[in-house]
Amino acid sequence: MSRGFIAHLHPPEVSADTLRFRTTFGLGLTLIVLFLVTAVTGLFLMLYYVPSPAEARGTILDLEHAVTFGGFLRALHRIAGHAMVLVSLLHLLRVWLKGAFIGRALNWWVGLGLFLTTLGLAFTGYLLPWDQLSYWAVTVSANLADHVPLAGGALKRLLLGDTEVGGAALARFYALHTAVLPAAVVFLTGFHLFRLRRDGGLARANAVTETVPVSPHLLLREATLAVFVLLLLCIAAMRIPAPVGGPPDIHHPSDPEKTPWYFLFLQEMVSYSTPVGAFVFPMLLVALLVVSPLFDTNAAHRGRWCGEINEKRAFIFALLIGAVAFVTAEISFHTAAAVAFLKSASPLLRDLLNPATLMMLVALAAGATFSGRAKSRRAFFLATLTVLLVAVTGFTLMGACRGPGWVFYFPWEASHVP
Amino acid sequence: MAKKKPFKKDAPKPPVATIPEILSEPPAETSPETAAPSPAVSRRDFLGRAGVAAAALCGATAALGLVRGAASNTADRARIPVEVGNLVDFRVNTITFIKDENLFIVRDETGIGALSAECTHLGCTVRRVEDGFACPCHGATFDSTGAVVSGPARRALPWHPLQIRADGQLAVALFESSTEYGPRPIALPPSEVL
Repeated sequence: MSRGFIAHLHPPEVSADTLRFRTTFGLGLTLIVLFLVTAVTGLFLMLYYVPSPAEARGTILDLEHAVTFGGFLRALHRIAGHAMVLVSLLHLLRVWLKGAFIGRALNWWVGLGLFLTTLGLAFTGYLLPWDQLSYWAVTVSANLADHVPLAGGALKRLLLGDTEVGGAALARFYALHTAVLPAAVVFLTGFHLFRLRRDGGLARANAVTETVPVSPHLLLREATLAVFVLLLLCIAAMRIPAPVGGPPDIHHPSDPEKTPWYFLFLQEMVSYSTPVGAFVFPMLLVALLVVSPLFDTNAAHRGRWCGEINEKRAFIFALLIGAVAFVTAEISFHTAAAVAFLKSASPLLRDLLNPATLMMLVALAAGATFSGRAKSRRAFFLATLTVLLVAVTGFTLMGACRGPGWVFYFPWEASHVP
Repeated sequence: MAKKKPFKKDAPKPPVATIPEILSEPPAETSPETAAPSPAVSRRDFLGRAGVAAAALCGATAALGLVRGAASNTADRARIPVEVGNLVDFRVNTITFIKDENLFIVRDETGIGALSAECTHLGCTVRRVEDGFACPCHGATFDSTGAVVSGPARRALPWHPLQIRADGQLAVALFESSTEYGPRPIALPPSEVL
């Protein structure tokens, strides 16, 4: 056991204080387990699924109703996929808030790449059943790609494999979902774990005091967590069957046609403005995340939640300011006066005056304020990114409350399509 | 009087080996001082770098080829106008959805026209509502002439040129459009109005 393959993937000893659950909450290991579950269940699904617009939905129905354990494995695949998006977001937040990326720029970027690849896997996955959601999601995302200046048309052709949404697009997304992106995850994860060991193991606030052998201390904890995660997944898969959407009506999208929860914020922002919602806001978010380790370099903050007291204050205040600003922006955007003003405004003004732009400005202002006060770059990134993440959460909740006609309904107001 | 330049023939001659000497003696070691000066890049390094550059060039060309191949060659649909029905099938003051071509045939007292049903925001098909059209995907709304009322769309729904042939068949040119809203592209002579 101590010389097996799993043990070989680990260093011989780890520092005792990083064994605590609260160090990482086991999120990284959970992600590995989730990926393995999606891979194995995915391989099984590949035995029955046919990537053709005419046949795809039929094979999904067969899996659901005719294949032994087909429904269970399909549900498991879907739940593990959703969980993978959520847990990778939590893992990113943990690493970011704990400053574990400080001094480890390359591994942070590999991690960001893994996060985006996970989103890509989730996206290409729900295109495969070729139901209503799939068909219209492909339509919208291809048209979004078309909005990219200069290369837009070529990008759309590359995505669709044709001038229209059809079998060629399905074939490409199938190749991405089953081959290209999983291979990228495997490669990037391997490199991610290699870099972790090279960088000296899990980030610690204090110097190493005591080390313990990995086998059995760490391996036993990992095995327990893996079994626990598997158990939760299986119970969830038995209780929550994966839905099969209706056959695609290529003449009418459903009203409303909503993305899964992890893209609701994008759908909400895009309903204000395409350039801001689909390009400027996400690019600002990604750009801030990417450059963090280049500027946020104070090694004293590594391994501590939010750094020191000034940074902790910055984080708390940014949360509050973000929430207040978001609610204010949304309410004022929906007042009769604002609606009337925007109706007659020029397209440029309508692209600029919306809650998404406002939240970006608030984020940058908060960052400048708190970093000035605390004289700390960490405070800048903490404040800016916190406000942006509050905005993302807010837009997700808004998107969840949208009903037919993309009209906003409070959850208690009307029973609408989720 | 100019100094006489020494005549070349009188200059001291370097020792020249005779042919028998050359053939019988072993080849002389080239002393370091008389060898060519050592270059900045050795031959080995130069060949190595040239090999890597050649491999990189091959790799780049292959990658470009793959990307070009991924951009499909399927032709655009032929740009001939499509027939959507006969004039007599569309009564005055009606809006009819033509499913297969994703457009509405709009007819009122002043004329008849073909309005695209593809939302100018991100491409979903709009649906008919009481005073115009609405898109379910992100809430864009248009009035009955296709102009933007509210929501994220920035361009009006375009009209496609519509021809009325001699036998009354309507032909729509799908790949041409204009965004002018108001008067219909084709006006009917009064006697044709039903």
